[in-house]
Amino acid sequence: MRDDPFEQEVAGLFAAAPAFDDGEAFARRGLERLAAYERLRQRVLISVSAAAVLAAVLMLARSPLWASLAAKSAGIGTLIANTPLTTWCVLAAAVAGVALLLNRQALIR
Amino acid sequence: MAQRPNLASLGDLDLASLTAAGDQAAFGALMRRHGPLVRGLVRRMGAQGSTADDIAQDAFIAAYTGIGNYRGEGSFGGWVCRIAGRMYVRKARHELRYQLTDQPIETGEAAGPEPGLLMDLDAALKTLSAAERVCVSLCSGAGYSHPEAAELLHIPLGTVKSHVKRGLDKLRQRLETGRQERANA
Repeated sequence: MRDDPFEQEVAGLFAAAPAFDDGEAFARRGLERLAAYERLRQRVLISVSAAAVLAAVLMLARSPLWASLAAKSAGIGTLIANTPLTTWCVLAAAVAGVALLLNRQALIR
Repeated sequence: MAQRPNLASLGDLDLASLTAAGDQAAFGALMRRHGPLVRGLVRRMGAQGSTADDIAQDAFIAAYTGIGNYRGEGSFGGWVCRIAGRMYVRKARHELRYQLTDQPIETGEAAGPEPGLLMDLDAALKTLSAAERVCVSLCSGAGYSHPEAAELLHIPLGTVKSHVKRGLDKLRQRLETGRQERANA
């Protein structure tokens, strides 16, 4: 690896960590940020899962089977079946985007 | 009920295993143990104050998310140092871009460290140009090979070698002067 003795010496000096007073505060702040990161990750996971469920519902709603069922009934089924695909996509993207923007604040705090 | 082990007495690999199982307290113990090393490296690379803390903490968070990749082959601190070095370079790439040239940057002999601090690596590092400091820190502090550092910095291998050589030469000179002054004192 390092043939030069001086380079080894410098590596040893680097490894001798500098002492600082607020090591505990550093770790505490790091854990706070880690907890915020975990919250963000969970929320993103929930958002993505919700978007996936929405997409699955959408696919079902656009399927011929659902359309034939919806044609025989009134109300929400008809509404879902008749809503254009683009509207659903924009809605899902908007919900996911707002969720991500809000959750991003968790890391910046 | 199983008694919780004293985290401070556990080795890095055990703490990493506990962390992988979702124990954030174990990760806190790793941060307390290796935080000074990682923060020190980032500061020595050129980051200041709270920026250095943020980068070091971000490196620990990245290590947390990839804790399964840590196999205990080296020290945990060394592993996080590699991550922190990469993060610093990415963060400072814009500022460094104009300094990572092959041309030696004159730092001025008059701006040398105080005699009493010559033995101090930190003081000696301040006499290096930004490019030399980053290259020496990456290769000697974070354990990157010269080719790895060249790839990370997006500069030719020969340039990295030049910066490291010039940087080590300056460090050697400063540290040697400090030794002599201590011997004479």
